[in-house]
Amino acid sequence: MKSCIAIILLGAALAAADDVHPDVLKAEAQRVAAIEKVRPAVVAVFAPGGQGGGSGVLIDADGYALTNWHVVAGPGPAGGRPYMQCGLSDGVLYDAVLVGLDKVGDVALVKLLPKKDGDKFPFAKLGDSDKLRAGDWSMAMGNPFLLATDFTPTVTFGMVSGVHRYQHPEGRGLLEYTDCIQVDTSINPGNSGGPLFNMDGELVGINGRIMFEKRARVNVGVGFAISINQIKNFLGHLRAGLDTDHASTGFLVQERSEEGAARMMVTTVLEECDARRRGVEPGDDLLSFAGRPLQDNGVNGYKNVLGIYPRGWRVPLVFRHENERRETLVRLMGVIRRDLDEESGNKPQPNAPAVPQGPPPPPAVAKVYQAKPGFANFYFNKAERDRLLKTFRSHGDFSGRTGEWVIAGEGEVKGKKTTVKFVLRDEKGADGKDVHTVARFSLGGVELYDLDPLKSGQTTTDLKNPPGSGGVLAALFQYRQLLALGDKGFGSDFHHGGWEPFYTPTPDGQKPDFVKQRVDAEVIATRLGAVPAKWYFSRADGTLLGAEVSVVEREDDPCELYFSDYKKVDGRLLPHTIEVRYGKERYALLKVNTFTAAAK
Amino acid sequence: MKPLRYILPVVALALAAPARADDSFASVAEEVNAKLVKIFGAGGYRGVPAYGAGVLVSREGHVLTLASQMLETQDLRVHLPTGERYFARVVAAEPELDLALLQIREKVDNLKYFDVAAEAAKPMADPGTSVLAFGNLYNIATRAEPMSVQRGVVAAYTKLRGRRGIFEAPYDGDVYFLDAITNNPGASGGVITSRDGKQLFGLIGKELKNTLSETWINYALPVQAKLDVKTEKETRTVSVVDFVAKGMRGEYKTVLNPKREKKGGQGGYTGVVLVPNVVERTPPFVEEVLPRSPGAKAGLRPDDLIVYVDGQQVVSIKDYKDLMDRYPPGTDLKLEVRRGDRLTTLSMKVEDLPRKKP
Amino acid sequence: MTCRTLAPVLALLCLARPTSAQAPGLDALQQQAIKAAVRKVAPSVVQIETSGGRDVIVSGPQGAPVRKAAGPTTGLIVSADGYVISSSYNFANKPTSIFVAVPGHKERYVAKAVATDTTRMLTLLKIDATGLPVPGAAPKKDIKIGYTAAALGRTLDPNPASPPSVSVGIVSALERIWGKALQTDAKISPANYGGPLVDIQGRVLGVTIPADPQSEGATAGIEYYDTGIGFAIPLEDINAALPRLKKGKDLGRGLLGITAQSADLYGPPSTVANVAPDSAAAKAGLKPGDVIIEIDGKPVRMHAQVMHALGTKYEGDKVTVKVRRGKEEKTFPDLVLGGVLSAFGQPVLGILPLRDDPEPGVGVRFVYPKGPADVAGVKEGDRITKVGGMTGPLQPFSGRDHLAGLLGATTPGNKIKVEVLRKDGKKTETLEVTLGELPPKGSADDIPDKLPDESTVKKALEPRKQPGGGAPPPAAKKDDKKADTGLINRKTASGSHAYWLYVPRDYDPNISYALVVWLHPVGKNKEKDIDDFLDAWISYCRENHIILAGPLAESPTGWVPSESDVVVEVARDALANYTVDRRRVVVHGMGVGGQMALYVGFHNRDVVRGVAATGAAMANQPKEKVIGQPLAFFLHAGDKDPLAKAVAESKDRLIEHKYPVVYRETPAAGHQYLDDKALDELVRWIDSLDRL
Repeated sequence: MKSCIAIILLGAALAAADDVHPDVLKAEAQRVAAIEKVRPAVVAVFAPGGQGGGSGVLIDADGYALTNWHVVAGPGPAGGRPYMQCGLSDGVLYDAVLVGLDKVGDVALVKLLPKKDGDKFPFAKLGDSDKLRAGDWSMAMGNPFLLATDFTPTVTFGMVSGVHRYQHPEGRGLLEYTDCIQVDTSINPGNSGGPLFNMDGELVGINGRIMFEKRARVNVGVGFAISINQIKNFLGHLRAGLDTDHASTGFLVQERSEEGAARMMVTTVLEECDARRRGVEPGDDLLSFAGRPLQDNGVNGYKNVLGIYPRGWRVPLVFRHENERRETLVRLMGVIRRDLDEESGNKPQPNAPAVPQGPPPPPAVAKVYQAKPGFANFYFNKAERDRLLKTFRSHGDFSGRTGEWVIAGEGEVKGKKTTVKFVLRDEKGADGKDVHTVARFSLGGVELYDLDPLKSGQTTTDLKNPPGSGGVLAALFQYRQLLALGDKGFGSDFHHGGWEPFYTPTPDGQKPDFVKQRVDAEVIATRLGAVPAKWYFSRADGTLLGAEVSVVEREDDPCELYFSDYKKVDGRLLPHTIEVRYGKERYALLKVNTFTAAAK
Repeated sequence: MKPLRYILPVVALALAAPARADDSFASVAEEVNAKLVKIFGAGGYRGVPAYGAGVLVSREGHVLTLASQMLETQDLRVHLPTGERYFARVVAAEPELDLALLQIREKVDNLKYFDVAAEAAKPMADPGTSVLAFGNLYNIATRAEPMSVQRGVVAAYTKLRGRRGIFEAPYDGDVYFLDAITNNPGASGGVITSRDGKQLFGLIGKELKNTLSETWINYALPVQAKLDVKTEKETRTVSVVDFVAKGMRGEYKTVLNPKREKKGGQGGYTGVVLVPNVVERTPPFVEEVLPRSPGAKAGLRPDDLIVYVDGQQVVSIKDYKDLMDRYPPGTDLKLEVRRGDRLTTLSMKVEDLPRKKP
Repeated sequence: MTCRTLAPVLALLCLARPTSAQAPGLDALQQQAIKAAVRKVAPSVVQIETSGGRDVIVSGPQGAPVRKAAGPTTGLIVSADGYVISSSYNFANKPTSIFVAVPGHKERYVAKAVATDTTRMLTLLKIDATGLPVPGAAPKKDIKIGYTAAALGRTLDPNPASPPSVSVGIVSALERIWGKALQTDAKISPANYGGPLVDIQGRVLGVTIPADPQSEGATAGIEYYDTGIGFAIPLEDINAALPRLKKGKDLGRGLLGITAQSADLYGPPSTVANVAPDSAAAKAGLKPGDVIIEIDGKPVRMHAQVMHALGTKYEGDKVTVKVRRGKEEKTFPDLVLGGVLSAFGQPVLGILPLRDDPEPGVGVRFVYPKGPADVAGVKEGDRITKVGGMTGPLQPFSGRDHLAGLLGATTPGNKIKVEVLRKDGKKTETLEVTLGELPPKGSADDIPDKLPDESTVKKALEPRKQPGGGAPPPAAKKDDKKADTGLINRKTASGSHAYWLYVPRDYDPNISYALVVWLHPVGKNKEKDIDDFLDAWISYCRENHIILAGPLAESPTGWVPSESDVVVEVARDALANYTVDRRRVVVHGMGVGGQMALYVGFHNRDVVRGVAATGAAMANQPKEKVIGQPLAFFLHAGDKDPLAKAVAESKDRLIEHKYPVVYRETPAAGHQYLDDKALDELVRWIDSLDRL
């Protein structure tokens, strides 16, 4: 016992001896504080029944948390467990439900259910991962080797070894790590889905992958985190309960391998891709994609910048065609092939065991989960959709106004000044019996075209009238359906399509500046008969910015509508400038002076 | 991105408030990366990767890297930090240091580089010195993509006792041991530098296992490395500085006889009989000591446990025998034996095997 | 080494150079501080060398055997009069002598191993020296997550006078390994196990060890070396335990002697499933069904918290437990925790029951010769209808599992009464049976040479009748659609692993089948290998009602512990889709697969009842038995297999821990699969796993 006392005295003595520089102690104190600040937001994820598991991180007070798809992957209809349990560092275990999936990007969004309605969760602030540089310090937190038997995360500290890294998909095109962050910060099995923080305690990545060729399944100084900026592009899709897909361009690119600097050359271009219609041809050189130059980093650089965008987005593309520099917006296609899509879970896997499903979800979870093909959890899609429509209607509610619609004014059509009039109303058919909605279009007072949009057996030429408009009559008819009937105006498909950039048209005689023209938008995706459409709403205030109506799906450009200059018409806001574009051309620019939307 | 003024402690104290924990090394990493290249060559042989790293040691594109089968190809390519890629050839190699010197075939000029001679003149790092490590880990980076940077400290500076599989590492001089997991595929030929990036400490070595701890080791060959190589004929001194200097002038003589003189030989006579070597690692207990033998003269007794021979530990009979083979007749040895609970030091002179009487 | 003296100068240079925008002034200061901290503790860090001992410590589930290297290891002086603490890993190969080199002391010392703390895997050494420098301990309450932590070792540089090796990281977590250890991301490995982890001020945070919350023993967690996952036992705790260790008695874990109802440590509240006879819990009067709500005044919501509260305790420590029993709350103050050694045998009658029998009671399929039942006069074909203590009434029971539960509550050597309905003449007798013990005292278990083929009544799907005709519970629900048979290839839910099932063509859902999960040796996951395996087993599957399952390891280097979940998922798949006898679920493996089988068995007692391993030995000390979750072992090795020795040792260790073990050696065989005779015995062993 005596020796113990001696030790303590001696210990005290030593501690007092030659003291450490105050800056060092301060730096340590700051690190401790930074960790303390964010630790409560770190989640230990368990499959129901407390087996297996990984990590996650809360990103808002309502309990939304990010993790990896491969952490929640399991016998769910969309290839993810609908239900899991999440422990927080306060030692409490919460039920959680799957919200959104990004299988290619290996990301899943889940929601922790508060013990008491309205209880708030601690959460981490999203940082800007593009500000991160190799050589910065970072902190990883999570549950490696399931050490957190008390749910308190393991904190590891280390250096960012590289940024904008590319790591190949693991078979089947899933789990592709593009534009990711490489760290020597220790990451091990169980860290998956956990946060990577910068030293300000901002969330800059989701740890998901390590190199373990050398020693089975342990860290060898090389770990990868999905950059938070990539996840931000998908966040709207995830919140909307979608089972999302990543992007492809529709053309193949090859790195020219002669000595000296790299050249990114287009080799083949698919028949039906938007890029071909925008003028991309084999032999062209890619210069920049979505604002990022492509020469220096070869194929990896290209895959990196392509990989961070969701299918369906439009991004700026700069390429050289026979020494002519061209700049355009290109619509991105998906990467997950249908069959693969089914394989990976939208249809139950044929050879997957019927069980184990784990214990059935508790009622609280069952209440907020709804399976539907193409969705991770359709319950959240409905929620997002209805929220968006509610804000939209607050600017003007047209529900049930299915009477005659007249949009008239003057403007330019195919470059010529003229007056324009659209009329949409229900009419008796030739036989004088059944009533359908007919859209009529007059130029300079003369009615030139009409369309009975729902009549069967019409040629695409009919549907795309007037010529050069890409089908503005059909488009405006759907516009009326949306405003007057909402989801009832469409078939089965009327869902929230997540977040997308919307680009206002390039003003006459100006060079495009897509960064300036870009508006953050939320999308409602619809399908009426064979005609799919996307409706773009401002994320700021929910006003309808425009639409893309694809009268001829895939093989042809959609008819683009741009709404602006909203004015009140008996208390409801309606657009008074409408621009119609098709392909590279503007079809019409209309200054509206009459806009009536009558009730029945 | 910590403003310069925080650097001087005095000032740092003055502006206590916003000082941020832990410096960023982002621009240091950029500076160093500008002097490093990625190397792509032949691979597959004994699991040697087809990619690696190297450091520029001249403005004309001389590259210092580790000797490896990867270099044995006509199609040897080098990616510069700026993204260009060029063919390169081996101009010199030194098996004893396990080093090779390459040159870019294209005519290039004013590349950023480390002056090896100047670096070797600077003070060495010691245990606790913090370093940055750069390597082309797992072929993650190509073209202009910067190499991976890792942080670590020098864990120790001591003799390399490593092997790859059953093969002993060719270089067995002193190296820096690192506490970072640097020695991964593609890292060899990369560098470790001071945390300010101003000093080149050494080149990252190969993937080896420590024979003493049975763990993977992470080590780097110091730029100051110097080695005396004994062959049957002569003893020559090889050093990194000399290798690079002569190599760049095209004057380096690569002596390709990695076959070193086997240390020791038949050993001699001690007259010490050990207990039968029954199990793995039977400890070297003395069974009997022949009368008038060197062992007897040294004062060895039955039941002594021989623990150290000339300060080197012998854990088993096999160890003991391997070691004794190295000492020809006439050698004076210091033995430390365990007798009861004490270690006793004895000295013994190895003799010639006694001739049988007719 | 002149360079050491130059270091400060170097640092100053960095400070003085204002040119480079990034010149890490702070980093240079940190560097100085760390070097100063190391210098402060270095004199107390000793180098340990050993002589003799084994080369290979039996392998862990990671695959390759753990080679105990010959090189030096590290220790820390803990008292001036010659006591040195170190990681037990450094002595796991049982060396014949230990030597300690103290920095600055010319001569090395011969060391004695005084005692080992088996809960924290630390060994205390004593050398004959005095006036040694003792480092100061950082007070636990001051240690914060994020603190700088440097791990020191004396293994890389053979010269004990040189500065120790350094790895720098931070404190990653507190109270890991069930509350016993600090966690750090400094690189911890055999290069510094047993050395100190010091803070920026040169105070010792703890002594580093390999560790893993999911397993025990000196080599547990070795596979995490240098991964940034490292552990250290706080020096404050070591100092507290020092007086006890100095007495020369090993310190063992303090056990309450209960098992939890659910395998899920985190979800449900901690409900007592079983109470070990003459355990601390039994003495205090805890009962199955009690819900633990508080330990030492600290509320607990789940079993993991109970394990945390008890994890730090030693045998003989006191603990106060508060439980909810029905509506009332009961407090049991100051229970004295028992030790691991209170392992208990399993009380047995020495019979095999007829299976799949909905009638109350148990039909006797086989009577073990000279077993308790035999001695008492129970005959094959009899039916046991009631059991009871010597005093008190005989009580009827619903069947095999109910009877097993009743027996479990007694202890070997107890006398009980059984009422049997004789096969012939339908007359009932009451017999007195002195319960036997399984395994038989200190020896290996054995297998009957022959078992009656008649094993089942073939009414598995019929609702079980309650004694005294209570309302029958619903039958085990199985959908009517014909289940797949033959060889079935599947993937796990996550798609990460492939596996196969083999179900006999003549599968009859009314018969409960044994399940054998085969864990293949390294690389033996090709179609051909599976065929070979099936060839050996297929006839047994038909005749002895066995279903086979075979998950395939992901890594070519063999199985890893984390794949244990996969193995269990595969087993659960079979359990859910076929009529499987839960008392005869066996994990079977060879080589690394065998390691894995042992690992899976110990870590999934709720599912696994038997482990059959060939050419594989146990990595660590066996975990204690769990009542109500019996686990039996069938170990096999070729006598020429280099591992044979280790396998035999595993057998002995299991028997020490009172596990029933069958051990077979194939003469003149190396590392190869069971010969026909052994395989025949293995099948009989499986057939007799539901012994009562």
